[in-house]
Order: sequence, then C-alpha cells, then structure tokens
Amino acid sequence: MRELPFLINFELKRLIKSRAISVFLILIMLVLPIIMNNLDTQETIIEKWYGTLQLQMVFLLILIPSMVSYVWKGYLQSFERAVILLKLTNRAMYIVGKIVAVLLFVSVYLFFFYVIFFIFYANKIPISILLITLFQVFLSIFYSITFSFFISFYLKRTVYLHILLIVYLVFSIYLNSPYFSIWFNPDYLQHQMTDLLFNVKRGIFLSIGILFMFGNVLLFKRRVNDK
Amino acid sequence: MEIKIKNLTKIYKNIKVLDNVSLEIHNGVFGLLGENGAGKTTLMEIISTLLPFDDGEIEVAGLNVKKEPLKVCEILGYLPQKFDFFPKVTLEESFDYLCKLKGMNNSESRKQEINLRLQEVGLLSEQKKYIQELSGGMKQRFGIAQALIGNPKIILIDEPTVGLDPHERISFRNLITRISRDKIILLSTHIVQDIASTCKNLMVLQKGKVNYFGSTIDLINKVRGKVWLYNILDDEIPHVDLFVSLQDKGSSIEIRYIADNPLQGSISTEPTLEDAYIYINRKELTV
Ligand SMILES: Nc1ncnc2c1ncn2[C@@H]1O[C@H](COP(=O)(O)OP(=O)(O)OP(=O)(O)O)[C@@H](O)[C@H]1O
Ligand SMILES: [Mg+2]
Repeated sequence: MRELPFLINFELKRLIKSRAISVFLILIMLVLPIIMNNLDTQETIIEKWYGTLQLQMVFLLILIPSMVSYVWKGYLQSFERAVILLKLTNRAMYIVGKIVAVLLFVSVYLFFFYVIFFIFYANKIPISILLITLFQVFLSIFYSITFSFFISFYLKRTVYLHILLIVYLVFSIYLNSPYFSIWFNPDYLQHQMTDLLFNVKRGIFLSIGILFMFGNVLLFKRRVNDK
Repeated sequence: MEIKIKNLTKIYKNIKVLDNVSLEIHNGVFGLLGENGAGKTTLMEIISTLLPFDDGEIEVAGLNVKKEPLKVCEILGYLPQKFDFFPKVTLEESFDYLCKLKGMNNSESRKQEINLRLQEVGLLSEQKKYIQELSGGMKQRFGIAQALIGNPKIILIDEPTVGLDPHERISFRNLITRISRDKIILLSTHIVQDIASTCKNLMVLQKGKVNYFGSTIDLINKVRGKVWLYNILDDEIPHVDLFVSLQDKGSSIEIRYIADNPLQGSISTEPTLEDAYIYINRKELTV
C-alpha cells in the first residue's frame, strides 16, 4: 500500500507530459464551451449548458480509451515486471495506481472547468442541479475508465477499444438505460435525475463499475503469474 | 550466501519448460548458458518470485521463495531481457521513482543514491536525458544501475549484451565483474564469450534440462585433447565427428572439429568454452 501514492504520482506526470492528450482535453474543456457559449441561440443557460455538456461528454468518453492505453498497454512489458513489480509490497497496486491516475487526471480538468463555470453562472443554475449532474458525469467517467481497463486485458489494439466504446456510447444514448448507459440524452437526464428510482438504478451502475475495478485487479494478478 | 534450487519443475501447457533443475549458486558471477527457449528467463523469473512453479524448492539467502517472497524481493535486483523504460522520462526522474518504490522516503538519501548509482555505471552526466536517447550500451548500464538500488545482494541479469557492439560488450562485462564483489550475480546469455570471460561457474540449460553444472574450467577440460585443426586444400570437406568452425587461410581452409580419433594430419589445439559448449550440447542431442 505504501507505494500507491508514488505509483499514482508517476502515472499522472506521464499523462501530463502527453501533449496530444492535453491538447484534446483543453479543446473539450475550454475551446468547445467557449464556442458553444457564443453561438447565438434562444436557449436558456441550462439548455445551453446541457448542450455543451452533451458534446463534452461524448468527446471525453471517446478520449478515455486513449488515456487508458497510454498508461496501460493491456499487458506487462518485461521492465514493468522485473523492474517495477519487484519493488512493490503489493503488486496489484500497480494497476490500481494507473486506474486512479486516469480518474484523477480527468477529474482535475473537470474540476477547473466547473470552478470557472460556477463563477460565471452561480446565480443562474440551481446548485442542486449542478451537483447532481456533476455526480452523473463523474459516474460516467469512472465507469468508462474501469470498463476500458477491463476490456484492454482482452483486446490487443487500442483502436478496437475505441470502436467498442463508441458503439457502447451510441447504444447508451439511444437506450437511456440507467442500469447500463454510460451517458444519456440531455433531456432524459434532466427529467430523471431527481427521481429516486433512477438514482437507485444508477447506484447499481456504480456497483458494476466497482466490480470492473475488482475484475481489473484479478486479471492483473493472473497476468503477473502467467506472464 | 547462496541460492539453492532443488528439483525445480515448471510446466507451461503440459510442456516442462524447466525439468527437475537442481543447482547451487554462491557469491560471484554465475553463468546461465542456453539457446533460445532453453528456459533461462523462466528460471530467473521464478527465482525472483515473479512466476509460480509446479514442483521443487528454492531458497534464496536462506529465504523460501514461496513463503517469503517479499523478503526475497528486498535483496534482489533484476535487469530484464530487452530492458527499456517509459518514453519521455529522464534517467533522474525514473531513478527517483524507482527509489521511492523501493521504500526510500527521504529525498536527500534518494538524491545520494541516484548520484552513487549513476556514477558507478558512468552515466552521471546523462541524468537529464530521456532513456530513449541512450545508446544500447548506455541503456544496459542504466539497467544495471537500477538493479543496484538499495544495494541488493543478488542481481539477476538476463541476456544483457544482445545488440551491443564489441566495445560496449567488453565494457559491460567489466562493469559486471566490478560490481560482483560480495554479491551473487546470475548472468544469463546465449553468447559463450560473455560467460568465458566473466564466470567461474556455470550451468548449461538445454530444453529445460540441466546439461552441465560446475566450473567453467572443468567444462573446458571435458574437450581437452579432443579439439583439432585440419587444413584442406580443395572444397571437399571431410566427414568429422563434431564440426566447430571453418576458417579461410588464403591458400587453404582450416577446419576446427572435435573428435576422439582425429583425421590423419590434424593438429591438436587448445580448447575453448565454445568447443566445450558445442560438445556437451551435441552429446545431449544424440542420446
Ligand atoms: N507464457 C508462456 N506460455 C507458454 N509457454 C511459455 C511462456 N513463456 C515461455 N514459454 C516457453 O517456455 C520456454 C522457455 O522460455 P524462456 O523465455 O524461459 O527461454 P529463454 O531461455 O529465456 O529463451 P531466450 O534466449 O529466447 O530468451 C520456451 O519454450 C517458451 O516457448
Ligand atoms: Mg529469455
């Protein structure tokens, strides 16, 4: 356990150094909202925000497989086994560190975006709606990350992971299933998010994400043992 | 201090990749010689606790590998085959990271360790470089430096000289000899010269079985008096028991071979480890 912070820290540094990923994230988190905000429409602030959020989420979720495969190739390289794993007191922390690092990396971008957002629109959007929406956003991201890691153990190439996630995303938005969808139609989300049953179902969705997390640890341990 | 391996067996998909391997390794550089697929890497990964095994017992410095893997890892450094590292990370950054993982919490002592280890392998002036910018030989020296973090008593080195030029290869061998004091260094290779110039003792692995285990000199002595040179003038190569090499001498061609009964006109010559290696591998193949 003692090594977990160092593992997370190192993977975070690597993600920060990846120029392509940073450029895409800045486009999604900064440029896209500015463009959307300046489009001259008759929509209310919330409608505008939801429209932007929808685009942001679609792009962000498609970017997640890239981030995942940047930190984790789906298999252990020989130096990772012999040089890094040998120094750990708990080898499973290696994959946990990578998952947490991707999650933190995206969360930091989101955090800064919403701090700025809040400063501008604090009085125009009810805080409860903002928080509930943010919770759904975070849930989606968490799930997509643990899911992508899980799939990466089986798929040899990142492109397949991208394709799979895009297909999943399309089905999600089409079906709007609280149990299963990684993201929703903005209208649907807006209507459902205060519904208790909807939130219970999202709890189950969260549990599946957590199960993927455990699955990743299990698969990783197996990989270590049979090379 | 020693590594004791008794009747070790490792099975991959019904194939015994290590078959009843037994050996003892003491301080100094120990050679692990074998062709591709002989099981060298598998053996090293098992000793280092990374791979489980099916049968047998292994003790590293008195520690049971199965029962106390963490303690074994603490006294062990490993330079893997085809060593590399993450892109866009400098030597200094990666070294600092590895020191932290090894449990060195004090940033001052980490700095000292980095300086000491990089100095030891002659890379101190390169510490701001990315690992990808290093030459093959430098990369391997960096690999040794990271294996030395925390001054482990046992160092496993897997085929370190593959892809190095002759100059780099020699300086790498010297480095290994230099760091080998009070340590066990297990050096795996399929390059006979690496072993000949660095290891007092060795094991020859062939298809998972121990083909030879003992001192390098004894192995060479097995073919003493059996290695011959013979000159031929035409292209006709005569039949010999065990052919070693051909050399063009201008007006004639000299063949080097191993035999109990030489061809008439052959000259006896001093055996090398390579002769002995070919001799014992062949013996095993024809049995
Ligand atoms: N994960 C695996 N699954 C099945 N067989 C394996 C696995 N890893 C290694 N082997 C087999 O085990 C045998 C020994 O492999 P190993 O890598 O130990 O050989 P080596 O002596 O290190 O060879 P090289 O010189 O090529 O590195 C080979 O026949 C190899 O095919
Ligand atoms: Mg090998």
